[in-house]
Amino acid sequence: MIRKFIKFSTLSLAVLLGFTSCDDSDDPEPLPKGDFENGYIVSNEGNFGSPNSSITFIDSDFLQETNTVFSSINGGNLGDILQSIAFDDDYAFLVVNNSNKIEVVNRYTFNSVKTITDSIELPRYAVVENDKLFVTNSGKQSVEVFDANSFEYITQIALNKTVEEIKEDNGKLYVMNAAWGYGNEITVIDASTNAVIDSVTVGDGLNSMEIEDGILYALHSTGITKVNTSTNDVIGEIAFEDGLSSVSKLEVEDDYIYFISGSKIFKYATDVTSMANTELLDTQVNDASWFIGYGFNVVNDKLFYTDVKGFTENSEVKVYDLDGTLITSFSAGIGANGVYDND
Amino acid sequence: MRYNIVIIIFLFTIPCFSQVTSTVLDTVFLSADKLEDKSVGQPIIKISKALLKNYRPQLTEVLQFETPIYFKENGFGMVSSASFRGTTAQQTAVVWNGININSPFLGQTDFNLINTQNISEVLVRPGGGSSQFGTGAIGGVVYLNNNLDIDTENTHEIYTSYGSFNTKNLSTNHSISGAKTNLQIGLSYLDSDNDYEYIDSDQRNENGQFYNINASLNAAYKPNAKNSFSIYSNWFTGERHLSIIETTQTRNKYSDEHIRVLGKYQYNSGKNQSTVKLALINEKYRFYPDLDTSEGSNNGNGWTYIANYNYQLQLKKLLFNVGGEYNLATATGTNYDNVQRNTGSANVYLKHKLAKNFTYQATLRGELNEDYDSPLLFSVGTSWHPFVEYTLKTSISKNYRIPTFNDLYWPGAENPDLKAESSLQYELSNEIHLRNLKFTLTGYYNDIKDLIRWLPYSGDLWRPVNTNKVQSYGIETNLQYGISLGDHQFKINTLYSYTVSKNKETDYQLIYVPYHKATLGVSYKIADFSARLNTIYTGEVFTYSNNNPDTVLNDFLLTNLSMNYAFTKNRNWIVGGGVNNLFNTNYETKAYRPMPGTNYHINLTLKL
Repeated sequence: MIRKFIKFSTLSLAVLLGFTSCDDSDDPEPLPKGDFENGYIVSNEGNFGSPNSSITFIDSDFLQETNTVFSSINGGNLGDILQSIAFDDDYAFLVVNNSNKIEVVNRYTFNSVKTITDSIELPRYAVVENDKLFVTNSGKQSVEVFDANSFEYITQIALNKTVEEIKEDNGKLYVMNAAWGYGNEITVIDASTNAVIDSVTVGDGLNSMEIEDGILYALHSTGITKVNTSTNDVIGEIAFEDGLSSVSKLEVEDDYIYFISGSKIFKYATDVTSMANTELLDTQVNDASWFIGYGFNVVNDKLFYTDVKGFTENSEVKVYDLDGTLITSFSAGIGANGVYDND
Repeated sequence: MRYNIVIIIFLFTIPCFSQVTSTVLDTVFLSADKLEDKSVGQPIIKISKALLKNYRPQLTEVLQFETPIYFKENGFGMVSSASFRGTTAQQTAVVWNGININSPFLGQTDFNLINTQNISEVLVRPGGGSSQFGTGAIGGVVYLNNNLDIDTENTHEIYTSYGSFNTKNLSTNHSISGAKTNLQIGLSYLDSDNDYEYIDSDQRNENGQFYNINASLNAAYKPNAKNSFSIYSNWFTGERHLSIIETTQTRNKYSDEHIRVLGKYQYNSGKNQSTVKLALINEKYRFYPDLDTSEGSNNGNGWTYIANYNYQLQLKKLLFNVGGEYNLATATGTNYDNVQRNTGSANVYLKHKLAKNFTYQATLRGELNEDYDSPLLFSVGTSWHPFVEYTLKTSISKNYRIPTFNDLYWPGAENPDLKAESSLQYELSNEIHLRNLKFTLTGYYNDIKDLIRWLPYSGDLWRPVNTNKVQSYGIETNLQYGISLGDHQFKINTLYSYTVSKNKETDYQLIYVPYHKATLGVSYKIADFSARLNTIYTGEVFTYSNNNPDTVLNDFLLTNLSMNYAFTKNRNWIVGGGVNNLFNTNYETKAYRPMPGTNYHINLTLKL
């Protein structure tokens, strides 16, 4: 009942705003696409074994936040462990790991569009390319392919290897065959033919990867391997110095490399030859939790670091500028693991 | 409508009443360890065999309705853990015939994997008890007892029941006794589809089915006044699917098997008594992440061997005990590379009747082992009886919870400084005993420190460390009242507990600890008919450690009603039935794990 009311009131508000904007100006302003544009989306994975994963939305000025967005709009629970979110122009694809499903929603209204379950078993990450949705499916060690508009199941790309992050560049997909500190391989798939076309070996303990300007950066236990995405050849290695270790969550933005190690955030220019053990900042998150560094993203020239507080209460998301100065912080749901731009 | 049916049944059955009473035989009890005798200063909640029969076979339900313990269940029949006096799941000790059976893997007992149909009674003693029963006796002790009575009548009892969700239960208990012997055989089978519908939802409990078998064999042989031999054994095996919260989730299951054997020899020559006990406990589990294949399954297999010697000197007003125990616990399995834990302990017990109306007891227990630091444990209890109607009891004790196998032996996570969790506890009880009324009021304070948590220690390495401190205090009251009006007999048993359990750093109440819990049991009996109504009230619990009011589990009232009627000339057939969750309360004891609504069962018992 309440949910219906919220839905109805949101709708009325949207209609009202639409009318108002028409009245106020002769210039046709773009209609608002929904309540959840021009801001950031936080994925909160929730407690393992509970359906309490959730979405937090906060506007671009960090003034107004909405929690449990999916449940408020659609009713019901989102599911068990929201691992990650992929976007295309219209949709957000919520990858719900332990629920074996992808929830497709309108990325601006969060109205549910479709629940994808075909062949999905413990999905991890997803990406949209060539109008197809590619999902790394760890339960089957495969990449599952769906039509990104009709959401029909297309095919399975069996890899029979660990599958984790997936990124696209120039019609090619890069699938990380490493997780939990083990693995050093990346499989390359042609997004139009769904065929495996290459594989790249990088450093051991491959943790995460990012692609910028035709270069794939692969963060691993001893440094970062650079791969040219035109040729899929390794073109360089940046090593850690002074015992820097336990790194995770690589981000590359505007010629800078960012990642974290525990409570610390590190930043280097992409053209450095080695990485000294000097952090940009220490978030001082020393909560009694093994989940330090659960979420870290660089979005819109800001650093977002999540403190999940042991998964026993709401997370805190700390926001810094690119120089490491704290701008603000806000609260999100249980187990915030990622921040995404929704403009 | 439902209430009408209940009332109609009630009315129709009233004319059929006739007398059914069980004769209490004056027998010699060869109890494994008489808890009552060793509990000076602490009240005990006794749950008789007859009362146990009123509940489902899993230990969870009876304790939920008869004690102040809060149970967190992952859905009906799933993993069930206890919070006793606001303590954690590992801080309640479950003791079987004197042997602590908390799992060495997890440090706790799953109360849905303990079957009550083949035991004689359950005794619950709130408060510290580690110097007597070892690890985990911080919140309290749950004591499962088999009484072996020699030279008694033979009894045979077969019980069968069928209920909602295709729940089938069969149990048989046999006691065969000679002049010097007693043999008890018990068997229990429980099987349920457990696919209940969630209230106010179109979902149902999926993949929640389970079955289990429990068998027990206990025997005593007392050739003469001086010597006695006894053996206790129990075997439990079961398979339990883990209910899922969404139909798309991967279905998985767990299998468990427990074997417990205890042999005891006692030599008694007047003042002196020597007791030798040898025990063996085997605990096996296997988790199947996918129903169709055992691939990727995760298992553990633990063996515990116990050798115990105890010497007792009994004088007129003084009882003195000194004992020693050796305990070897081993485990193999997916995460256990043939680990071993050796523990030696020594204990002293003294009970002294200082004056006609004043008795005290004192215990001391020290423990030696190579893997963690263990505190010196003690307890002092007093009982003062100034008037016939009134008893004042006090108790002070130091108690502990030892690290689990995971805490101790996880590869690369060894912490040489690890200590056992420990607690210092104070308690005061008033007992008022009138002719047909008993009232108890207890206040306690418990200071718990060195709680074990896993923290990052260097880079991505974690290890267990002693960190949190918890302070718990509260009151427990119990009122028992019996009355007969002509042929109508009523018994009322009601209990209320107020529990504060705070993390000392944050001052927040621990999650899943209700401030308030109350129980009410009313039994009615006339002639061959008996009925019983049980209600519990459980206050709201926090599910977030910062006591977020938006995520509490609501308080709930849960009521069960059952009736039994004995018939045939010898009254040896009993037919009964019951309604659980009479008012279809939508409740959860763990977030997102709805429990069943109104459900029914019928049962038939044959006694020979």
